[in-house]
Amino acid sequence: MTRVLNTLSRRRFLQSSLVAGAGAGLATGMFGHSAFAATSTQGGTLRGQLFADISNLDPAYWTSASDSLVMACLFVPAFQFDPHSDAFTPKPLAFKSYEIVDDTHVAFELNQGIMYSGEFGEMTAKDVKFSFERIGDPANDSPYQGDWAQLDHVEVTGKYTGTIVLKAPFAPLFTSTLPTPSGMILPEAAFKAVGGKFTTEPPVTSGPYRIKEWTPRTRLVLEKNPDFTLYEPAFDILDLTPIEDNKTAELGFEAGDLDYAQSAISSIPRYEKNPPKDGHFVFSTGLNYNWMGINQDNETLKDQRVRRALQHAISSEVVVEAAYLGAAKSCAGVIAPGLIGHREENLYGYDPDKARALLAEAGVNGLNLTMSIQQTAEDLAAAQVIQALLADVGVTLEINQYESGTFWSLGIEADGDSWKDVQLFLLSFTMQPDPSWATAWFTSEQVGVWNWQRFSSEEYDKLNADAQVELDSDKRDQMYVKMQDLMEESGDFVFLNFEPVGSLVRNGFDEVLRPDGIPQFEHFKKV
Amino acid sequence: MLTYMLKRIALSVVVVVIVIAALFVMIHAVPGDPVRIALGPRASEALIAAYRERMGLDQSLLVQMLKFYVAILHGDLGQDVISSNPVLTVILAQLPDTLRLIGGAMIVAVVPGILLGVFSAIHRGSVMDRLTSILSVSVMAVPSFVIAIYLLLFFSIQLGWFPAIGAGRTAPEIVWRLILPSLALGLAWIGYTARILRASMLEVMEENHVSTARAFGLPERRIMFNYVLRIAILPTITVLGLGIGQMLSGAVFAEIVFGRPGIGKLVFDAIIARNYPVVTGTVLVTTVFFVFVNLVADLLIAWLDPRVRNDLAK
Repeated sequence: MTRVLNTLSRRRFLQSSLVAGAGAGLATGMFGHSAFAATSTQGGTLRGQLFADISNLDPAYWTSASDSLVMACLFVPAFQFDPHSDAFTPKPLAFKSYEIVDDTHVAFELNQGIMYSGEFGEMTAKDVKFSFERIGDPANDSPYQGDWAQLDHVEVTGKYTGTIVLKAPFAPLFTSTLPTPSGMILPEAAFKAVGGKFTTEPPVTSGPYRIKEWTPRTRLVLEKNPDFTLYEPAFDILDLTPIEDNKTAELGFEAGDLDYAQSAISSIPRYEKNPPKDGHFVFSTGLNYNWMGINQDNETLKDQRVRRALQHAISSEVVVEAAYLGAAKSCAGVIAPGLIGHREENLYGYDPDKARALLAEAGVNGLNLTMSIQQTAEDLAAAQVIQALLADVGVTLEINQYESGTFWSLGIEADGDSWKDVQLFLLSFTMQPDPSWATAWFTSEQVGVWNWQRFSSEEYDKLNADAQVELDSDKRDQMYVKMQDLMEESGDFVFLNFEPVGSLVRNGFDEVLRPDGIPQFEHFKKV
Repeated sequence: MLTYMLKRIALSVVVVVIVIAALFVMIHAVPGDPVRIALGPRASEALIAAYRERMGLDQSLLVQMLKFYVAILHGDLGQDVISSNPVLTVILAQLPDTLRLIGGAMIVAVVPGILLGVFSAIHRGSVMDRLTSILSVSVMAVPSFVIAIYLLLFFSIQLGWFPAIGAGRTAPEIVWRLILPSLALGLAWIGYTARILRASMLEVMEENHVSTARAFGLPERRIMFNYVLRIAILPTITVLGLGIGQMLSGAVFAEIVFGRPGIGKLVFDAIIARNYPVVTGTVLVTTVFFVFVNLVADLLIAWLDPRVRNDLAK
């Protein structure tokens, strides 16, 4: 879901552009200062925020969303998410055409004339085979091996044609494998030239942009690749600045140093009411899902009636309203709107009387609990509201804040015994646009790893495995909804919300954002 | 003097060794797994174990520490867990920006600080002296990150005079983008420098050699700058030497608020990500830098103060 807010009329925009343009010329002449030059869109440069510096651009080993954003500019994946669609609609990019032969065979034909930089020639089906099999090969230890876990091999049938042969049907193939870095195609020769791996200096590029200049943690400048023919990128230069803190990026935008930035969550209500000067604000609902987890193996919380009482005691609407100041809505699951498996209704809503009755039935009186959270304003506000709501049913809650590194080890068995003491906690996970990414962390196998609730259900595990190979969308949808029912029925989860994403875009630039607010810089346009 | 220098250098080496040992113990005492962070949540347990082994993180703390010391002797500070680049390269890429920032902050602190200190001492009890005193204490009480935010909001957002983020590429751009962060970091030190210098000057002005100079009829300006300031500046040099350490930690805020690169922000991010090699490497480099600056400050004092020189000669 995305909505755009802009209070600037066309006339005001033209007036301000003229004034700003004159001012920019004067100021740039005087100071060479880009804050003044920022209001000019001349020169075909887009200055954007990168959420972190690049750290690994290898499709098999990338580490962050920033890596993936930049890789989309440098390399060509088999598919991309349609930049003109409001939904996650996969659309062939390197592939000219494809045919689903049967559940385990996908025949494809590459576009001709996709040229690699340097001496690496044209993209061929052999490169497809190399790239996909490289990630799927367990010997290569790729963290993204799961994206190609069902890949048997890629059969090359011609210079530009081949068939992806799977061991079993694999539903996420078109939603979170082929349109993501796992679907990017690079030549084997380039890897051989650098000893098999690279990090931030790719030996080859083929996408709409190529790296012009990279100053670590300072700046990444991409320039248009003249050999790229699949579509016409609008900007000659993408000038990307790594800024982890969205509040800083927001100030950079307001000062005119950036044409695109993400706003801090706390600023979303303000920008929704008053869009930034010389810019517009775009609201999106992210894929990140937030929830309150309850550790069912903790001695105090072993009785399901106690956990159910906590579910009834908490109004997720009130919690989310307080934490996000109206910028987000409460949710009923872990799969975002617009994706297969999105769930609309919770099973156990806010009912403090029922909560009190369940606690009495369980023989619990004067319950004292702890909640572990990270040091963010949103988590603290949410925890304080939960504290007040629980106090209303006679539960005393102590809030423990941790810095992120410490927090993320609390429930992991391999990191010590702290998981035993964890009771309630606020968590947020990110995902790719396929429901399998959301549910994978709550299987029995994940207990003590990322499943801190220690929720364990054979039915859930089976559904999770079956849904991966179910190609019928309706059936798949029902399976994922059922899995979220099981999660809630366990008493281990209180679903809160999907993370709101606010984007600030300078007037004169036409942003292209995925439905979850992630920018597709390679598709940004000038108005 | 040479023996003194050698002793101070040896002491500096000991300080560095102890700091690294303490750091190793501290960062390993904090929970959090750098391998899981580096590989992401989708990594299998087998992959995590292999990676841990490759990074040497499966070995005991003592072994890791000894290996680190040996590696330092070979100029190797390890490998960045996330980017796989050599830590030394990562740090050296960030160091110039932080040094520029601290240099800028020093100029902000020292030039007006000394002028105000001298003025207040000479015009002791005047309205200006009292005003300087009140302003100094007021600014000293405000944390540098608060100053940073207000400078940013006023001069960048409101007035649009300065850019809000980045460090710049060309020399004019670099200087231009250095002004607000340097002010944020150095402003509180103006008052500090001024107060210390004022107190020190007032003390020196009461000494016999100053009275003697006056008795000989030397001009007051010459007495102040050649006889008073030369001695009175010594405590300020010591304090500024120590202040480098505070500025290094203050640089973290300035670099985050102003979206600047630098080792302050580098180490902050590395701690959050449990990127141990970068944390230890950065702390090693900053410790060496801090120890070096203080060594220079001590030698400068020995050079400026004949009494210290004479003591060392004995």
